[in-house]
Amino acid sequence: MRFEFTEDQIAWRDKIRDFLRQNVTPAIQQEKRNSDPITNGPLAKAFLEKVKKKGWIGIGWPKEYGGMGETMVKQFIFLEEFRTAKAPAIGMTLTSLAPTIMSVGSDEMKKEWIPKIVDGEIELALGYSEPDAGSDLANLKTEAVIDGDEFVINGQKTWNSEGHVATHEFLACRTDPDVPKHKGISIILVPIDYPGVKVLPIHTWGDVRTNEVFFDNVRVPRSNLVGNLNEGWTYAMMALNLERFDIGSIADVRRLLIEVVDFLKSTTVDGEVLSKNTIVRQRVAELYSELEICKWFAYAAAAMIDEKKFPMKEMLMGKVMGSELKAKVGDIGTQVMGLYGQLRQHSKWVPVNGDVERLFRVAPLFRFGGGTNEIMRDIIAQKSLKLPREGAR
Amino acid sequence: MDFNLTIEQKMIRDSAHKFFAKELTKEKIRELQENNTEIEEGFWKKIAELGWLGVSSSQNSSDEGLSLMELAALYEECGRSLMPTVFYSTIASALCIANCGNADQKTELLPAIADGKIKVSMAITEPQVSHDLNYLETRAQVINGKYYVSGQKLFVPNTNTADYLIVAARTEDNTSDTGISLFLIDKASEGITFEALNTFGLDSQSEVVLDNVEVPADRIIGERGTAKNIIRKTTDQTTALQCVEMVGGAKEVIRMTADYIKKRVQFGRPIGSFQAVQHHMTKMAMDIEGSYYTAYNAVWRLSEGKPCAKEISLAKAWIGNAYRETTIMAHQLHGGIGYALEYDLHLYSNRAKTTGIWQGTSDYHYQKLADELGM
Ligand SMILES: Cc1cc2nc3c(=O)[nH]c(=O)nc-3n(C[C@H](O)[C@H](O)[C@H](O)COP(=O)(O)OP(=O)(O)OC[C@H]3O[C@@H](n4cnc5c(N)ncnc54)[C@H](O)[C@@H]3O)c2cc1C
Repeated sequence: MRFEFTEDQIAWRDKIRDFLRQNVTPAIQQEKRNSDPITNGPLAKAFLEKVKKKGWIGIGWPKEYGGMGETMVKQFIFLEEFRTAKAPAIGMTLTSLAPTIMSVGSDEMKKEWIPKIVDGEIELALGYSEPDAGSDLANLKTEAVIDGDEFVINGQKTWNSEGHVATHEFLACRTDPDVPKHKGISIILVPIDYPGVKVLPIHTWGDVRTNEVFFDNVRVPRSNLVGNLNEGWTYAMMALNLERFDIGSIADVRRLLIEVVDFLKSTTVDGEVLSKNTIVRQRVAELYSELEICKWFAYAAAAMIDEKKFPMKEMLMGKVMGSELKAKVGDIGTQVMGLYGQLRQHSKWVPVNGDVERLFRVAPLFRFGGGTNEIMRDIIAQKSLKLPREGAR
Repeated sequence: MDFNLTIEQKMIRDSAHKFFAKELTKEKIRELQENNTEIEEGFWKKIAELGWLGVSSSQNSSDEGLSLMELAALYEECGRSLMPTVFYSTIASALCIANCGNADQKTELLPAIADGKIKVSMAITEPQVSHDLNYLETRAQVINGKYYVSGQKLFVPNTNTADYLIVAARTEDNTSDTGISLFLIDKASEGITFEALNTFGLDSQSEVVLDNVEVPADRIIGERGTAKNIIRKTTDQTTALQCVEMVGGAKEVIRMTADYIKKRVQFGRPIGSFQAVQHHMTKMAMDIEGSYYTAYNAVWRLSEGKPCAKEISLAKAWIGNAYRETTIMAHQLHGGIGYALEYDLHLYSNRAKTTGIWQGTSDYHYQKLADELGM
């Protein structure tokens, strides 16, 4: 056993840390706070250009696509360092969708699309959810009908987060209505600027914009099909697993807790330094412990992937615990601040730049997004603990 | 034992329910919060006419105003409808004056508040003072029979709409029980500046800086040096009432969520039929059912003049967590829809966060309760 990084991994972490120290300015962090976090402002874009120049866009990708072919542990270190530094995030197109295309797409598709994805010319939005297909994703109804060399697409997606900034939809469609639900789904790349696509905003409590997207007789070349026809469910699950893994990373929350501690140490209320209050100390120590425990799920999962094992249990436990901890740190983190904890971002006197109250508002999404925690717990019980499935779904 | 409201209390609750359904729509609440505007005078006049701005100066008999129990029945509906906080800060000030103002102040101010002619707000807390007035730094100096108040107040509610502020200031330089006084200060006085804060609940709060603000001696509420007692008494009342408000809000969240999970179908069934969902829902309902009794118990004991320090702290500690946790779970049970700003749930989540902290967090009140238990 070894509960620390290897020297090689530490060197990698320090390299990233140095880069981030030099390049993540308070101005970049502020830009992120001021805008919808999904939309990169000019500073974030310039920063991500530098990341690209470093060759860090596809750390885990195969070398033939310009990647580094690196281990999952190193990818995870990279992700954690970026989060800890409050750096602009590398989008899901690069972290989860491009790898899916690389592993299941045709050679022609990979040749045509991957370089454009790397150049940022193509950005994908995740088109899974529909009004009647949330947890029951396989119930999706958006249909793609083959007509000569084209698919004709009709239907509606919702909670389509990147629909207003992306160039294409990574769209899950029903391509065979006559087979069991999971077996008639395909993934098609759909240009958002094509005629018949309409994007309408949904604004959310966490200040994140998401969208409803409507497809009205949208015609797309058949070559935009990802992998094989009717195998889209498997591909969606591959990408979803990566998303869950991502949610299980709580490095940003660990950093926030340290910032909360700094605030508590420097603030006196009612004659007592807040960090000296017995209950406050207990609360913070509890949160710290839970964050430390949660960390192991993610590290173990990363290490197992590198051993070619599938860490389902570890990933799901990390997703469940990590997402619930986000809410808890946002909640208790603001409570221990007393009256200061009920201030919002951009207020005079708000502690930690409002990042803690913001966490409280952002947190619900992680708990029901990427597969709700109720469903995750079902899967842990049934697949990992081998409990019977009857009576669940 | 009797767990029913009286007929009069019920009447207040029912008429508030009907009135708010019509006059305090969610569209209005959103507009007020988003544009940070004040509730229109017409609304204020109507609630004045309904008698909801008048508090009884003798608490449990209904002389000219509402008793505490009647206020509680009203607060429950206020919580359900997300009444703008200017109502609460006005009632708090009225209670403060009713508790300890002198006869002149009561006759001058209480009818004016009750008629909706003036609004008053309390400016007690400071950057370093939330509960313990011994650490107050705002000072009032006497020169030629007049007071001059200087200091910095933080988290002062609704200064934008208030005509007067009740300001706590040090009149003695020691921590004796008689060192602090309350001053009724005209908001338009020279030397006061305000800076609005951006709050989680999107309610109106400000930082207030007082720089040598001149106050006539007869503007001391009650008597000089009595602030600690007055504030203790008033805070007990406003904390207990706030608990009932929180129960009203939480009940609405439960209603909203139960309605939704009955209708929302996934996997061919209403999600409300899944056991995991039912258990979450039951936990919320149990927490708030318990909250209901404990909140009304606190108000009832107060209105009966019984000892109630334990009950108030217990209620605020419990409900402070229960309301917020109910909203957190409601978000989970709604999934995406509850997260959209066009849905109403987040309005309650905001209020739950604020009220969980306002008048003392759960942790604060559990500590206070432990003190009350003699530990
Ligand atoms: C801001 C935001 C961004 C998003 N971004 C995207 C995106 O980019 N692309 C995309 O495709 N989707 C996106 N989503 C959608 C997200 O993945 C869904 O919200 C999520 O899958 C849950 O679905 P739902 O909202 O329909 O909730 P529902 O499925 O209706 O669930 C509601 C509640 O019922 C419970 N429930 C449902 N079924 C069961 C069961 N069998 N047993 C026990 N409990 C059950 C759930 O656990 C949950 O608590 C986003 C959502 C939001 C709010």
